[in-house]
Amino acid sequence: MSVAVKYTDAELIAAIKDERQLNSAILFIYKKYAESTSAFIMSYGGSRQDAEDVFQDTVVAFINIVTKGSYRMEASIKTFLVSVAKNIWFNEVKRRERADFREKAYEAGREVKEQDISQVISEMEQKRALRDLIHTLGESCRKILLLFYYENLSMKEILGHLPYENEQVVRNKKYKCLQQLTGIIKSSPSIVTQMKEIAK
Amino acid sequence: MSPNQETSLIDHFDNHLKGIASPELEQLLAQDPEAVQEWARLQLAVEGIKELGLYEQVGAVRRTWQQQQETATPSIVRRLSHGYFRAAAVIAIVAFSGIAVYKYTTTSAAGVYAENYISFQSGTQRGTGMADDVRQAYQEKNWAGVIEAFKHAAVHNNENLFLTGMANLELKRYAEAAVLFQQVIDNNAKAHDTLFEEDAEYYLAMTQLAANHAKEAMPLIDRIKADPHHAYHDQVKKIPSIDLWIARHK
Repeated sequence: MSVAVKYTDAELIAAIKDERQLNSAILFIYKKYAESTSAFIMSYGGSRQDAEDVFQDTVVAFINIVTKGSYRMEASIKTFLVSVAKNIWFNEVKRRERADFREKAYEAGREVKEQDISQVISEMEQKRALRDLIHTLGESCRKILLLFYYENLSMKEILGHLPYENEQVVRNKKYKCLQQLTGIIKSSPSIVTQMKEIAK
Repeated sequence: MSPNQETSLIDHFDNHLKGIASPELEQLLAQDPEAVQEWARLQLAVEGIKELGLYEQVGAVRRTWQQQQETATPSIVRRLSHGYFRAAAVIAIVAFSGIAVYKYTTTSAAGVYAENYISFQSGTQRGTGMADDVRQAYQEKNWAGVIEAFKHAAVHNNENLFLTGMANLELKRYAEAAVLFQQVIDNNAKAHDTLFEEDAEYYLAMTQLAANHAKEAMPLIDRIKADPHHAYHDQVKKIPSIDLWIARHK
């Protein structure tokens, strides 16, 4: 297929919920909204890299909202993405504690409707902390857990991707990796507290 | 909890994710507070893994988008001069038949490839996807390293299939490159996806030209040329038509 797929807002939401179309949907979001959203972030002092990182976080947050069924389509997707990106960036500015940016950012931020978005941001930050925690696992553990829990591959299929002898070895490795991860979580009580809402 | 109880709980948890109910699990969670806590940690762990997976998937698409932008921008400039090249070629054939004969004898599909090949630049952005080793070797232009990393890659997704195809192309291993590019196209057809689709189409065409397989290359070249939205449309349009004509009919 050489021509990029185009979606209406409603079709895009449906495509995000369909695992087979997710990559096409993400690419469409990038093609249609990345430039304008990045321009906004850069107008508030972000670099090109900042803008692209913020947009990546925005897309992840948007997909999470849609797949949970929480996106209500009250505003257009563009408006929603820009609002989320704006809040992520303001939060990032705050985190960096750069007073010169912060003042300007919060002044502008007041004009945005934020009830839903603030929850998105808070959840996103907690998930980022959890993601960082997973990065303390070894590469092989991350791969095996991603293949099993994110790609939904069977032990037999995972065997085709990793250099293990047989399915039982893969299964044992997966146990160990998951136990290692729950052990890391156990030793980070702040994460457990923060994540209670997400785990519900 | 004993190690056996922990693995048993993980089995229950995996079944639970698949929607398989277990009365034994209900009983365990009702009786053992430690099991309840471990259950919550398992939920958190898998939530985090899924979040990381999604983040990496979006990161991979982000790199595709950036690469498409990088290849599309400079070719706009080249496109402006394309008309000149074509007109000049036609005039040259009519007015200077001697030159035309010379041109015919010296132009080949491989020559078209050599004159029009541009390296593919892999993105260097944040987001550690599962194709990291392949990508890193590619960015270092360590072509043999790309192929080696591909052999050990956890996932043969479109990104590392494509980059390994490019590494083979750089090493002039055309048959291997063609197989990998075709695999990207086949994967997309199967999954109704477009990841690295246009890159694979263009470089598959270039690979076939490099191997002097003009007949295989031309349908792809024609398709890219006919599609103004194709990321490599301008790149292909800048190839002199006379060169393509000679390569096609030789």
